Amino acid sequence: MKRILPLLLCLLLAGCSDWERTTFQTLSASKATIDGAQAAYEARTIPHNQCAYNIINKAKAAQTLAVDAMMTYETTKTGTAQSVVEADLAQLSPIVASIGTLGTSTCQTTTSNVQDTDWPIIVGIEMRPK
Amino acid sequence: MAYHSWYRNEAEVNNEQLVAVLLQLAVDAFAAYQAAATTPITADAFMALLPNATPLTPPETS
Repeated sequence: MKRILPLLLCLLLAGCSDWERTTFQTLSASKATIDGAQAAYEARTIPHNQCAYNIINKAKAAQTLAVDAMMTYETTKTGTAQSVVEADLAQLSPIVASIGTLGTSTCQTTTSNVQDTDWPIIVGIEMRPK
Repeated sequence: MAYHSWYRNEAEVNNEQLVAVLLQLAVDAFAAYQAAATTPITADAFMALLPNATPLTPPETS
């Protein structure tokens, strides 16, 4: 059994495309950021103000949309469903990045200038005080 | 002027604490990204990526 388990895991992992894997990783990172931001907001370790409230709620809504779209893709596996996921991820990206602006003098509700989609790095860049 | 606005911001939440929290968010996001590289992808796994369902407490209005 100890030899079979890794084999089964490999087969399971090989069964999904690179795109699915990358999307799964991206959504995992964004969930960690959003849930962490919510916990910090409730603990008041980030500002408990309207701007933070709006950004986190917007991020939660965008995450829900993207996850729902991905679950639809998993059942249909169509190009159309994949396009919907990609569009939802494009919406989610700048919203999650804007969590890094919480507490700055220019708390932003939109960040249209963000191009990269690598969440951890985005959060790292955006947290710099402006 | 810029210092003044920054100072007002510090009055609300200590800046060092805020930077530490945001840094922790980035670290957690990266850890989640790395962990997801080997997590089996199933419908349940995607379902688990839905955000915390508990509504946020609205900010106080003064």
